[in-house]
Amino acid sequence: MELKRDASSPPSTASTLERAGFVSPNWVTTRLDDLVNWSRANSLWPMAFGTACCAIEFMATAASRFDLARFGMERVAYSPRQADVLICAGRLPFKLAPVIRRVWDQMPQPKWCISMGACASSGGIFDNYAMVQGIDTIVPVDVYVPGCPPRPEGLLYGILLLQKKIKGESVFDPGLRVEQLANDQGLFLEPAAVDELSEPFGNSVHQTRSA
Amino acid sequence: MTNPSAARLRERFAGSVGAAAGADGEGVVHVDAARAHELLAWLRDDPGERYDYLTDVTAVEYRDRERPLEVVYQLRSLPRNADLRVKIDLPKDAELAVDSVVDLWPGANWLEREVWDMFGVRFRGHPDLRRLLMWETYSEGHPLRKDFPLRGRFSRAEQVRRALGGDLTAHYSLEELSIAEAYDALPEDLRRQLAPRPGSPAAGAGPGAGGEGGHRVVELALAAPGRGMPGAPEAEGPGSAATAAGPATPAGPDMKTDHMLINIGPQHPATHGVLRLVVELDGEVVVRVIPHIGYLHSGFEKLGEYRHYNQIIPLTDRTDYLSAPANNVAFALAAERLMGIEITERCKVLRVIACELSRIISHLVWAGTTAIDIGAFTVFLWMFQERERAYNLIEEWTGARLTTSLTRVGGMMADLPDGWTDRLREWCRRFPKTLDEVDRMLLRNGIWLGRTQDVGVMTTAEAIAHSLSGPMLRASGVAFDVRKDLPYLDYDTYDFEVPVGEHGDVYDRYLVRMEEMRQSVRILLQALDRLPDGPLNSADPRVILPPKRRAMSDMESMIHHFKQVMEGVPAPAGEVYFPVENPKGELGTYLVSDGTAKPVRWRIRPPSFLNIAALPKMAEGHLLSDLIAINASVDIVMGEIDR
Repeated sequence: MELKRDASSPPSTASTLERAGFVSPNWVTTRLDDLVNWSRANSLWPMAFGTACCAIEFMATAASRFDLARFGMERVAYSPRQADVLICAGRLPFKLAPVIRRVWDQMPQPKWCISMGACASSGGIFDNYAMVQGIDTIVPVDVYVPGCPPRPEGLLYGILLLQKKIKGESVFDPGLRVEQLANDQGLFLEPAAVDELSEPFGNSVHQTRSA
Repeated sequence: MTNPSAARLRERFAGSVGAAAGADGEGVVHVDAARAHELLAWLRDDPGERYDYLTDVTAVEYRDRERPLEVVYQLRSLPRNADLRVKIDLPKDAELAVDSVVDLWPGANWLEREVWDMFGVRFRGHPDLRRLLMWETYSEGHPLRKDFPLRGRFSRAEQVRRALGGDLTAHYSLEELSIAEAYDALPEDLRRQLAPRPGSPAAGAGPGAGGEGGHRVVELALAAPGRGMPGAPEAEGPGSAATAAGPATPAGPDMKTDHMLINIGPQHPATHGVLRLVVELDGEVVVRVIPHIGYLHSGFEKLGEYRHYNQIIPLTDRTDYLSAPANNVAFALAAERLMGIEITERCKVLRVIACELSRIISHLVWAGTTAIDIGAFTVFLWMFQERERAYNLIEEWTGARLTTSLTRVGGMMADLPDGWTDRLREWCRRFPKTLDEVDRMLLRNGIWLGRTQDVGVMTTAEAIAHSLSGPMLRASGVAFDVRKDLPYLDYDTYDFEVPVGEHGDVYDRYLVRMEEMRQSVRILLQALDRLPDGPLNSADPRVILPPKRRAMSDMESMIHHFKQVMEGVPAPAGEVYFPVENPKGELGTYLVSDGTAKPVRWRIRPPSFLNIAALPKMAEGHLLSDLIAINASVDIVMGEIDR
C-alpha cells in the first residue's frame, strides 16, 4: 500500500498502520497471534512426568480408546528439550522435587504445565513429611486437573482448557513468560506463600494424632 | 499355640530365647541381640528347620515409650512350608544396632537399609548401609520413629527450600560407584564436578551416609545423563575397591579401557516409574548397575499409624496402583484376622473375583509396557484395550477405574450391580483370544525370542536367596504360590494350575505371567459359578455400620454409627502377618496393634521392592539393551517399592 504523506505536515503520533487506514491498530498482531497460537495449541508435545497412579491414567489417555493423537499430542516427548507441556501425573515427593524443577528448566519456551491429579495439585491424601504439597510451589502451573486419579476425560478436558488458554495469548506480551525466583533461596514462591499453600485443610487437621 | 521351631530354639539357645507370643497360630520368638545372628544362621542351616527364605525384615516401635524397639525377621521354610517370626528387642537407651544377616540372605540388603533409613537401627556388618528411601543428606531424622512428627520437623517452606535450594547435587551422590576408583586420575574439570562432599549434616541418630564401608563420597552434577567417565588404568591404587567387581578386560598400556557411567532415570520411559539406575558400562556391557529408589516415597506406613483401619484402605489403593482391588483385599484380610472377624461366603467369592481380575489387569499393563521396551508397540494398544474393558467392569462395581477402595474390614464396599456376572462371563470368554493373538505375535517373533531368552537368568537358588516372589520366583523354578501353599479365601478349593518356569529368564517370566492370566480366567469362571447368595457383610456389629435407614431413625444406631466413624474400631492388642499372592508377588501385610483403633505399625511387605533389589544380580554382564528388558521383566510398580 502506498502511503501519501505531506512533507510539511507535523510528525504524527499515530502508527504507520493507523495512518494507512487499517481498521484496528492491532490487526497484524492479532492475525499473527492467531496463527502462532493455533499452531502451538494443536501440536502440544507432552513431557509426561508420570510418577504414580495418574501416570496409568495418562497411559490410558494415550492408548487406543481415548487416543491423545486427536489433539496433536501423540508424540510424547520423554526428553524435556523437545516438549511443550509438562504433565505432572502423580504425586511429587520432596526427593523428586529437584528433578521436576530441572526438567522444567530444561524445557524450551514456550512451555506450559498441567498438574494432573490431587497429589500433584495439593499433595492429596499425603499430607506428610515426604510429599510436596502441590507442585505449584516448585513450578508454575497453568491447568489443574482434579481427581484421584482424574479420568482420561478429565485430563482431556484439562488439555482443552490449556489450548483455550494458549489461544488467548499474545506473542507480543513481554511479561507472559517471565519467571524468576522469588528470593535467593532457590524458592519459586516466598516462604510464607509456600507455608500458606501447604497448610492442612479440611479433615486432615484432625488426623495428626496417632492414637 | 507354640511353634515347634520355637521349642527347639529354646532348647538349643537356652537363656537367649524369650517367650513365644503366638498370635493366631503364628510362631513368634524373641531372641537376644547378641546371639541373634548365630541363631538365625542355625535356623537357616539346621536340617530340621531349613528357613531358607527371608520374607521380610522390619522394625516396630510402640507408642509406649518404655517399650523396646523391635527388629522383626519374618522367615519361611519353603521345603517345610512353615513361617516363623523372630524378634530382637532393642532397649532405647542403648545403641540401636544388630548384626546384619546379609551374609545369610542376600535379600536382606535393601530391607535392612530401609530399617536403618526409617528407624535408625544400625546393622553391623552390612556392606552398604545407607539411606534407601530418603535422600542421603536428609536431615529431619528417621521418619517411622514415634517422635518424628507426621509432617516432618521443618516447615513446608524449609522442606521445599532444602529440596530445591542449597546443594542440588546432594540427592545425587554416587559414592558406591566405581568412579571413586578413577577419581584421582580424572582431569581437573571433572574432578571439580565430583568434588567430595563435606561431612554429611544428617541429624537424628547418626550420619546418613555410610562412611564405614570406606566408600569415597562423590557427587555428580545433576544433569549428567550420558556423561562419559574416563577410567584410569594406571592409577589403580589400594583404594580401588571397585576393580574387584570390574570387568576382566585386559588393561595394558595400549589397551586403554574407558568405562562409561550413565544415569537412567528417575524420569525415563523405560524405568516404569521414577526408578533411577546408575549404570557403569564397559563398551555396551553392563559392569555394575545400582538402582536408586525412594523417588516416590510417600510415607504410606507413617500415614497408616494415623488412620483407622478402614481409613487405611484408600491408602492401599495407591501403593500398587496397577492392582488396587487385590491390595484392598490383602489389607482387609489382615485386619480381619487381627480382629478375629469371620467374613461371609459371598464376600469371600467376591474377593476372589477382585483378586483375579486385578491380577489380569496388572499383568496386562506389564505385558504392554514390556513389549514397548523391547520394541513391540502393538501389544500395548491391544492390552490396554482389554484393560479398558476390565475397567468398565470395575467401574460399574466400584465407581472408580483405578483407585477402587473395594473392601471394608468385615465386608465389601458394594455388592455387584445387576447383570454384572454375565458381563464378566462375556469378558472372560473374549479376553483369552487377545492373549492368544499376543502370543502368536511375540512367540514366533525372532526379535522377541532373541531379546528375552537366556537374558537376566536367576537360578532357583539365587531366586530364593534374594527373596524373590511371585512370577519372578516361579519363573526360576520354585513352585511357591501363596494361594496354593498358604491358602486364603478358600483358594484351595479352586481348580487352577501354578505355572512354573525352567530357565528363570525374561522369556520364562513372560510365559509364566501369560499363563497366570489364563489361570485367573479359570478361577474367575469358577467363582462366578459358585457365587452364593446371602449377606455380603459380616454380621459383626463391631465393624459393620448399622443400615442407613436405622441410623437415621434409631438413636442407638445413630450413636453406634457416629462412634464407629469418629472413633474407629479398636483392634485387640497383638500382631498379624498376612501374606497374599498379588500380581507382583507375595504382598505381606504386617499389622501391630496396641489395642487402639489405629495400628501401631502397618508394614507392607512389598513384592516388587525385593524383586527389583535383585536387578544388579540379573543384569550385570548383559548388554545395556538387555538391562531394559530385564528391568521390564521384573514388573515393578514404584508406588509399592517406595511406599
